[in-house]
Amino acid sequence: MDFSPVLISLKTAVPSIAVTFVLGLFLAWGVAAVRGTALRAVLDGLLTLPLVLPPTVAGFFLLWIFGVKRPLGRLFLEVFGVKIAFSWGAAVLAAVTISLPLMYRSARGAFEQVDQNLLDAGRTLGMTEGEIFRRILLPNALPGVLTGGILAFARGLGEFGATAMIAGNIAGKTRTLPLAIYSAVAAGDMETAGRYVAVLLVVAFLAVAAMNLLGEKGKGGSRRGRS
Amino acid sequence: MAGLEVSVQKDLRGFSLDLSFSTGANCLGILGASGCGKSMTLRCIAGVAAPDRGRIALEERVLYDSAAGIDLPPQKRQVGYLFQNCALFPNMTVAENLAAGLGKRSRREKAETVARMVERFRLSGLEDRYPRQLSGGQQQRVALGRSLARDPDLLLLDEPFSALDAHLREELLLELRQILEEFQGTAVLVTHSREEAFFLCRELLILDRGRLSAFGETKAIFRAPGTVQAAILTGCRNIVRAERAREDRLWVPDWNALLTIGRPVPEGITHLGIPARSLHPPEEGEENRLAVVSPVVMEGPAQSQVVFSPGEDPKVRLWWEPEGGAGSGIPGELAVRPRDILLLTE
Repeated sequence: MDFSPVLISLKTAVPSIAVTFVLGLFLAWGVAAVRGTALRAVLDGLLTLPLVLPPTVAGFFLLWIFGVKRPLGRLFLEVFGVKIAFSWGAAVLAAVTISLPLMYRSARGAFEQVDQNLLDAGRTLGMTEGEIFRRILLPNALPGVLTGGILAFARGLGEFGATAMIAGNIAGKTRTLPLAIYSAVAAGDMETAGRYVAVLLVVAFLAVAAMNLLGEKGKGGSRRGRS
Repeated sequence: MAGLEVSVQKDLRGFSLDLSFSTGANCLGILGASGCGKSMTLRCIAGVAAPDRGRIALEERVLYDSAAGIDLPPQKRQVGYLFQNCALFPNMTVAENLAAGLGKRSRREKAETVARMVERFRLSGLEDRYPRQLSGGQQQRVALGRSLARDPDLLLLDEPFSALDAHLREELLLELRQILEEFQGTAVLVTHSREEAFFLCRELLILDRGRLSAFGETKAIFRAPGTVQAAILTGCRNIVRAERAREDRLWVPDWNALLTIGRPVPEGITHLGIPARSLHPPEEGEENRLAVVSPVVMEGPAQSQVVFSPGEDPKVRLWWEPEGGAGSGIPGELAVRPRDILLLTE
């Protein structure tokens, strides 16, 4: 069995979840703090779009933005000498784009579950907004935030459509597990496809188990300080 | 006047908050039905909600002034806020909660302040516990300690007893009074309980759907509420529409009765109120008698009440709180002394 898809998947999924996690967290915090209802709805909609659109549509837009002949893609190529399309970076970009909405929505949901009085209490106690985020909002939303992170990780690992569009299916370079499964099946090699499927199944199962574990902990930890 | 000056206008759902008062009391009670805007008033003072217009000043400091474009963030207002549910940080221990408002003070200074608060609020031995491991009373002491640790210029208390059991409540009432005495600064307590307001507050403000209905010394307001809403909130049970009939008489259509009030009827009186305990079986030759029928005895653990229908309409009720219980028989008539009749405006 060729292990390169497993390695490429890990090499893609790990950095992309790091980016998605931090970005999703701050976007959730930022959007929740936006005062105008209309602006908040627009931002929320934009950030959720990739979740409801087919990944190929996201891939289309990524190509449209980062394609070699597009201004931004050319800028990267000419100024930094980095070709984004059809590279490992493109696979990360695709995974981030597709998994970000999950992280963002989970984090926002978790933040909204936190008693607003706690945040106001922090304010009357002189804490800055940053301190409130770090010391009150995030710790008390942690189970939900981590669940979102796992969900986003699993989604990023399984990303297929957008990856195929902008990163392609280059063996040993951008061929992640989902693409390898597709290629193996297309070539009639059900046995190899089955092995890759097994790897993904194990990872997905572990992710769900971890999520349930966090959910149980969350029930105990998020009890409010009431009598 | 030193202390707190508040003038706020804010549109709320279905009504608008429009309120002006100033106080230096320890403490001022804001008494009102739920949803009348009393909590919102506190939130505006603390800066965690913004009024549409107005001015809020504390001692010499302007906290908010829409005309001058001043809106100090809550962080800079130096206002202690006790939330209804205590709002202790569940992820922090008692000691961490107490230190949460101490900001950039040195580690040693923080430790000293926390130790002082632990001592003062009888929390020793609980420093490393989490809020969920504390009783309701302990949680409240931590919350009070947390807001007082940073020496606020003003203390705001938002229905501090609403989430507590009755027996705990009375104990904490005593404690809170002592804490307020030690605090010495201006304090504002929001409540819907007349017992709390009477016991804790030197001054009282009655709020009715966002408007000031009565304001003054607490005992004076309980003695003479002046408005229908104030009479309801201070516990007067019998409030009816009344019309001036003669110089010193009021006609009560619902009871079909003409009552002497023993003084000239002031302008603008629309209602009268008779506290349930001011009624009594009439003495020989006493005036202001009300014939009462169909009594229903509402027996309580300490005090019983009798509900009558004084007229034809069964929906019109008269509440009587007999001194020494209802055991001594139910009379066919009740009387009220002229001076016990409260004169009210709508």
